[in-house]
Amino acid sequence: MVLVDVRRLDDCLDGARVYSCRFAEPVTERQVRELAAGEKLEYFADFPRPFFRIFCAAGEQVKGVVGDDDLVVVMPAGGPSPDTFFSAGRG
Amino acid sequence: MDQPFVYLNNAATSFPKAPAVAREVAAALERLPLEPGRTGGGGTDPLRECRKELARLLPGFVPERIVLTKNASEALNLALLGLDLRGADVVATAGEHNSVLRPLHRLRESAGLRPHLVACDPQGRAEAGEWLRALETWNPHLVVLNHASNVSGAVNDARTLLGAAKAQGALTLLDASQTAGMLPLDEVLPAADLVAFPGHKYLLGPPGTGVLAIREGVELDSVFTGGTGGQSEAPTMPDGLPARLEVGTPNPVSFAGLSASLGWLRGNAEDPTRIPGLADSLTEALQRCGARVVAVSGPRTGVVSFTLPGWTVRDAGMALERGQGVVCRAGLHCAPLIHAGLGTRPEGTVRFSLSRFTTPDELDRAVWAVDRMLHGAR
Repeated sequence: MVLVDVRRLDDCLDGARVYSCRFAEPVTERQVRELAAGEKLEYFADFPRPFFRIFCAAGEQVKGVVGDDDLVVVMPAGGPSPDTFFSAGRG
Repeated sequence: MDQPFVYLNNAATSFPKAPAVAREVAAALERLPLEPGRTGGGGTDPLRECRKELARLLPGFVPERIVLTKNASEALNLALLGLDLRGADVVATAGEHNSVLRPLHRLRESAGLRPHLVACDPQGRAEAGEWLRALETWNPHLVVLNHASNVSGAVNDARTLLGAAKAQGALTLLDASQTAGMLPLDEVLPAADLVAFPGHKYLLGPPGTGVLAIREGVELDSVFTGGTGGQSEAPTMPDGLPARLEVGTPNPVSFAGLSASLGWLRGNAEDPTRIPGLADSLTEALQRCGARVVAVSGPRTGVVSFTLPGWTVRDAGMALERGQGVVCRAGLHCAPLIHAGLGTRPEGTVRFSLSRFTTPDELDRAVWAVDRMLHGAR
């Protein structure tokens, strides 16, 4: 997953930061499951466009729709930037 | 996505528009832009025609005192910033939209205005007893009332609340953004000195249309100044309405569209209980599948707000729209203070808002979408 753009959307009351992250290609189910390896995945396969949420043990959250090229990413207060998160061999 | 979208964001702007609106807007765009009074030609003035149509909707208000704006926010700003509210006590409610709250805040900072916000109950209605006590305590110069909440759909008893304010000499401003075109206004209007609403919500007109109706005897100073197409030699804005409050190049194209929708609405009367009835049914269906709905009894619009256990409001809105094609809105809905009374702080709610074109099948699909979110993850 090649990250091409990061846009900050919001700041949460607890200090978490919400970003829209755009990738070079639409996200596939395989990539979602690789990203979620070892983490908690909610995958709604029967939606017209499968929706997923990944809850990482370190507090990051990734949400989106398979086939879109942008995901919503929540980074916890004090946590890394999305660039760092996705460059750590994820997806 | 193979399935068509289900559009449930009509409280923001309606879709689809009334039949003939798109055709009328396209036709207006292709007409030579003759401006009666400006280019020297004659012909039909779409703005004048629209004022006449609006006056039919607003008994007691004359066309010349119906100001055309780009939306309800502009209309409300013209009212609040055009009155002399320096040091004035103003009673409003915690259910007001930011298009009221923010101007009041600005005026508090800049003009010493004293706002007194009446709390809302768990359904989103202004606490009537507290309103009446506020009138007695503060003897306000102006009261502002949201006719119906854009968050919960609850309709305030505006006739009583504004009537009480008028009886003790206050000016009254009614924000009818969620009720114009949704519910009859006839019984409320006699108590309103100023009425603001958009043309693009339940009046099914194009975006870029809003209305401020001003009762005879109420005068507003100009907020914006500039060209008005007349009296160009004068350094000040014209005294007369609507010119005093309408600045710059007007928007005859969009208001031609609004006239078309108003004409269509007149010829296609809706049972005012139908949409609220659908909203009641939707409430029950959502509750059955496990959603926490802001339940409303009594007079209401087609707005239904809810939260979902295990879902942030943001995630729920995203899953509904992007994953399942149900267009809705999620968050505070530009009405930040009402959520304390509703119990939906700090995130707000997911909001479905129906129009007269919303079908029972679409609501079934929306409920099914919510049900899958609550019970469908693998």
